[in-house]
Amino acid sequence: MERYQRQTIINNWGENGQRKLAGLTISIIGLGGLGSPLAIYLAYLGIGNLLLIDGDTVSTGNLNRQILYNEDDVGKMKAEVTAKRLQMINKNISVKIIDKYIDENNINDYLKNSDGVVDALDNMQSRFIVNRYTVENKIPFFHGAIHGFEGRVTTFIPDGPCLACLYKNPQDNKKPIPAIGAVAGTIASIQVQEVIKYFLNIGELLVGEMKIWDGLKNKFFEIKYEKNSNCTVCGGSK
Amino acid sequence: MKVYFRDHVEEFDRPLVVNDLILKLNLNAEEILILDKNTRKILPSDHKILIDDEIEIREVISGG
Repeated sequence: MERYQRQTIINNWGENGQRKLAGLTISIIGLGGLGSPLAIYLAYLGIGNLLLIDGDTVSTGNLNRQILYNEDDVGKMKAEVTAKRLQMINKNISVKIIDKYIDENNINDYLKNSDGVVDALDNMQSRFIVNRYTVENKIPFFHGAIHGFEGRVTTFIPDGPCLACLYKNPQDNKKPIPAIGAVAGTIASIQVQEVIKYFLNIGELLVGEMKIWDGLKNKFFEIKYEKNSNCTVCGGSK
Repeated sequence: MKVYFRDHVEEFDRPLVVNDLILKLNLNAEEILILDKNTRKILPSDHKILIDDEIEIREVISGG
């Protein structure tokens, strides 16, 4: 517990809270710009079981922002490299990897032991697959996304509004998405705080509210959204 | 009404339903969010936008 003393002294955290975090299994889907700081912070935090899911390898074009990797990692599986780095950060946690992409056929198997899912994906199609799974299995889904200087973060909890209440299944295009590591870090930091607050039942969550970071204007904006009773995933028409 | 989109402002001199605004701007409804700029609430496709309303359109982003 000594290594966590500076967080267990936070009101309503304590050693009980830390033990609760140690008993969790949190899945991080995507190990890129968002996934790098997410994985690092969750490991330092003492989440007891991390499941890393990504079928990609490190490429040179990742190295402007994906802070887990360096030039020697190019060509290696992201999940394997990340697991090694996280175990160097915290030997007391369990880190498991799945070096495959998540899809409709494997998601039930991959996420069956997860208490929560943190979104570090880079496309909406996969997010909608994860959203459906988390709604049906009543586990929280901590959403983040970035584009250039903009980042967005919100939290979907059981019985609350879901991703499909917010977005109407947008199609992904194949163009490279502009991305900066510092923006990913801003959003990932908030996602991690949402994980803490949800599981320790402290503070206020970004439920029904999406924070938008505009790095060019140095401003946070918010969007309010509600559960859609006609939502095809969580509403009456599912 | 004023419509803020991609650092531009467009003005319309009559009320419009959200769906009609999307058509007028030749946008794909699945790729955007239509917001009331003041309440910050997402507006449904059948919502009638009044002449004094200010609307903000934000595109979906998906990078990670």
